[in-house]
Amino acid sequence: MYSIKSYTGLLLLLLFAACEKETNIDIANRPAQLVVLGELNQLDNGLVNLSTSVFSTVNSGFTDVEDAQVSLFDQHNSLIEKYTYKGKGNYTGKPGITSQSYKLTVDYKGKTYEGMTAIPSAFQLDVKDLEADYIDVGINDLSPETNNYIFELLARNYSVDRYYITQGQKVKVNSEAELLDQLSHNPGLQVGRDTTFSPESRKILISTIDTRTENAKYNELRDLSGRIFLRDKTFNGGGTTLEIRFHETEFKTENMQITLSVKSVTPEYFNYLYAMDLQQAKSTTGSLDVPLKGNMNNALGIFGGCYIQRIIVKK
Amino acid sequence: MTKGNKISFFLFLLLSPVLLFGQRQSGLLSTPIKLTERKGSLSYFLNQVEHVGILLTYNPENIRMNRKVTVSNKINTVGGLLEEILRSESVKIKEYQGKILLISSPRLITLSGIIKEEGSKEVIIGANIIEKSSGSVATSNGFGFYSISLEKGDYELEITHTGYTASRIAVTLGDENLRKDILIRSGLDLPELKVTASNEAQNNINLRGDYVDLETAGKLPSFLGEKDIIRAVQLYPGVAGNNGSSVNMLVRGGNTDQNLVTLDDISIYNINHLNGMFSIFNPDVLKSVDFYRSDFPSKYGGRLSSVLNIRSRDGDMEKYHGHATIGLLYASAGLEGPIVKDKASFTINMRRSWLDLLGKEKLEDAGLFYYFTDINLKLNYIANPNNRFYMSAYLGNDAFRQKIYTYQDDQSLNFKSTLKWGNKLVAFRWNRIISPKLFKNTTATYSQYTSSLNVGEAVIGEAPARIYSTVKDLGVKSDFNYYLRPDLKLNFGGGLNLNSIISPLPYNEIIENTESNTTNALNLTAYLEDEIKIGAHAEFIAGLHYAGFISNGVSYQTLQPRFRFSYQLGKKQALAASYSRMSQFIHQFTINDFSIPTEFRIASTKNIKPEFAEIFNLSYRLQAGKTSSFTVEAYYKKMRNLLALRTGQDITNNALAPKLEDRTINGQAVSKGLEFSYKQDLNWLKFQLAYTLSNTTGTFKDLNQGKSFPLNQDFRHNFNLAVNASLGKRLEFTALWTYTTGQHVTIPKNIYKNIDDVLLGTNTASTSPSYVISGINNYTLADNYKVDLGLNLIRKFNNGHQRTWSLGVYNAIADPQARYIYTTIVTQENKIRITEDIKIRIVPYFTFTYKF
Repeated sequence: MYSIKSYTGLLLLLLFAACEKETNIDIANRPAQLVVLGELNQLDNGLVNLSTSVFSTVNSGFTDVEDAQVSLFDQHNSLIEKYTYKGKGNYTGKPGITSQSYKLTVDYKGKTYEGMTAIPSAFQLDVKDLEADYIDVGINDLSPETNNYIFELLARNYSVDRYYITQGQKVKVNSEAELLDQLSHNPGLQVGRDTTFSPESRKILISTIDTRTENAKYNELRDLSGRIFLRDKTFNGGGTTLEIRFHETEFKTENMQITLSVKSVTPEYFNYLYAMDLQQAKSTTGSLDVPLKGNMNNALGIFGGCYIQRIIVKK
Repeated sequence: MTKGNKISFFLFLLLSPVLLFGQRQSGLLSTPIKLTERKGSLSYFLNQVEHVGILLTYNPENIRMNRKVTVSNKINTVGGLLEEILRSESVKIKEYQGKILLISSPRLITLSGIIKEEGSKEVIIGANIIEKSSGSVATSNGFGFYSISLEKGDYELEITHTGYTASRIAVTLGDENLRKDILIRSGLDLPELKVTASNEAQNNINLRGDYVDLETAGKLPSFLGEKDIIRAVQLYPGVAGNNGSSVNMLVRGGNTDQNLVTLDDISIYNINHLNGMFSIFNPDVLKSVDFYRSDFPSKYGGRLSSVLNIRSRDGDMEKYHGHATIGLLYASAGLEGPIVKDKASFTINMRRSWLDLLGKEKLEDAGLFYYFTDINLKLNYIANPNNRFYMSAYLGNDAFRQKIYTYQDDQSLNFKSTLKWGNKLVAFRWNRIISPKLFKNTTATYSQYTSSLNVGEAVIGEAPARIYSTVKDLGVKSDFNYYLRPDLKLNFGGGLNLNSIISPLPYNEIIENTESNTTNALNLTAYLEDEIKIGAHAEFIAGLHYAGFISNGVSYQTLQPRFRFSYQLGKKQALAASYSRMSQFIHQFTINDFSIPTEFRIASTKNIKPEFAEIFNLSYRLQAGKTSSFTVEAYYKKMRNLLALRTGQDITNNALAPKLEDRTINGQAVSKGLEFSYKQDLNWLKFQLAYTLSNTTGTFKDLNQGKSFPLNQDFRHNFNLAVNASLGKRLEFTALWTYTTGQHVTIPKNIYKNIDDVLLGTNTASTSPSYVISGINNYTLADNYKVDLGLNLIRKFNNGHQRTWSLGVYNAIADPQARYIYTTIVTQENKIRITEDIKIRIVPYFTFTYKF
């Protein structure tokens, strides 16, 4: 209908054919700051990654810092150890001890950067129920101290290589048919499999409707979030169960191990991770206004302490 | 000063003028006296005074000696006795050289009545009645009532009002009070502009508030040619919001929810049509608009930053009039006239957008189906000279509908999504002239605002089929004006209001046992205000507004003092200083100017305290000749318990906490500024200039790490210039230039690696780096400006009919504010990109109006 088109066009012209304006603010020239990102828990080796702010197109990422000295001190300011550089900006040390406080120092280009953290008290973790699209996670909060829990489901791909041994050597088979063929000729053949895990994990998107969690209480990170945040206000010193939902296709994926990871973290670490997730959620809607507060003096980032428990829920 | 002392001090100030006639009792006046009789004539009691040995000097002819009086038991001094028995006599009591003089004051006779427009009998608000020899001035109130007290004699009174021919009437005041309704003639040729609200007459430069000149406002260029009174208000100094193409009002650092907007005394919660591009106020309906951003009259309360009081036309008591207008967006028509000549009249006005009439289906497919309707109806009836009744109603609706296609189970589905919002307003009013000095206005109001989003039976995620937001107000109040003495007027009154607020839960809210978002509240108000003339040049206004609020088992009682002192420097200059305290119990959060059901309101609770503002204002006004006026004002405004959305709460994307209290945090703000305005009114050229220099910052404990930051409504410079030039009898040229400092936005100052990349071992170029912000609103966009141009072609016919073509270009030259702002990090380019979307430019318009 011609008149409709004409009028629609006119209205578009009048109302909506308005201009758009872009303002670009260059941040490349901002002075690069040291970025300290690390975690210390009772299970894994201590890990600190050093880099600088400002994205480097040459490196296709942020520039790693390789020539710093990273040291860990106890609550009495006694040196525990110096971290070892492992490449890609990563420095590692020993696992921490539950309920201990620590100080991390980074000496870099003549300056010392410090951050304090602690590993919170222990808790118990178990899986109460596991269905196709949800998992009931049991927490036994053992300590009357305040605990801040973070729940994650981590997926890691792996590959399986089948082999048989002949003359003391592993011979990889390329297919099940090939293996069966070898076994038919030699029934006593020694066979085996090698499982190779990807060095990278990914967070499975999870959700909850439990209003005790920050996610549902504030309704900001409730659906399809990478983490669930729960303070122990309602069950401090006791037990509780949290239902975590996920898409049912996640557990149907082959060659993918899924681990339930629950951390009790320091308040600073809890707030940092919440703000970081909020940053990501809001940035998709064109808003970059969430402040992020770390715990390193004069440097960006965080050195977070946590007590961690993991359960593999899908092998 | 303790709280109790403060209250006592305020009460003293408030009541002191009433007691001004109270004589200080010393010397002879404090002489004890014993009365054997408590009832008797005046002459009896005067004799009793002389019996205690006090010499009285008086003229018996000036005192009603035989008048019977009863004296209270508390009287035990001569002074007390004389005060009590002579209170109703025009006598001053004075001690002089060992005797008491009873000095006769001339008896004052009160002239009162209603000021009306000749012909239509429309009552005139804010007209001045001046008696030059005594310098007495009275101003007609919101219903045209005036009261002026003068000595017996013959007078020539001058009645002035902008837009009306100054007229003189002769009156003779004898022994009795006189009731006289006064008719004044419009000085304008244009019938539609006969009634204007500006009472800024040249002989009254000592004004509270601004009275919007509807005549000038009606001629300015406008978006799509549709005149809007809010756009005229946006031109006043201290008001920002003009540069975003919407009808926002950000008054002196206040937010949009801090404006009390009333139509015929009915509070309105949402004034928007078409995504905030127009207000609901049909310009053809308006009689008067007064606007306060400081010096708040004590009768107003409930909002922090401004009061916009709009009155609609009553309707011609003599003849029928009408008009029809068609423009690019809507058509309107109106009719007014007598129901019973000189007794009852009506006005009815309708507006309707007409885009949807071109084809519903096609427009729904294109996502452009939109319409709005407005109906204004007002009836009034004069029962007798002292009683008048009004009924006014408004019904307005907006609807936006689009067809949405989706796939479910491999089947293509389509459904209609309808967004609706609208107001229903009704008021019944009773004006009663109780005595020549006492006027009462009683109003019962009902206001309902509803917005809803209906997606029919389609299921989108967990969204319910319909979500809605409603606010209902049911109220009754009485206002009194008591013209106690020529130098003292009292305004007092009170009322109660029942509020019911329903806010929607978030779309995805399916949590059981959540807090109900329905809130009921009871508002109680009472006020008392004195307007005292001190000598020939000074005036002092002292008022106290009480507001009580009860909701959710919590009650708040607030006392809000209001003071204003003004001093006139000759006839051309006036200085004024004022203090106002305001409180607000209902807080509203909306996406900027766009009302969809995700808007929500929060009533004060135990944890959410009422918001308070204290405003200090200094002003200087100069009337330079008959054609120009200049005003400069300085203000300091402090706001406490302000509410802001918690970081992460996002109305646009429906990321809202189920519990209303979890959505907000509180803090405080300070706004300060200097405002200049200049008006020039020549025969052929009118222009109005306003400039504001201001600064508004807020401090919220849980925002910006507790540090102060500029609020969204902070605009350092705001400049407006409106020009209206008559180029011959039939042609008028209008232009409007606006310049504003750019909006604040929050942007990162740095970016860095995401900790998940480290812990999960990805350690590669992250697509979502973390970022650092140095503070909220840490970047100011480029300044905004716009120029609107318009032409009005007017043809008047011999039969009184009139035809008007309005042509023009809105935002002819412009870099206006954007409707939406997005920010992204462009990692590869190391840039923060701010995208300002929908900056409306170059919108031509035309409208055609025929009036009869």
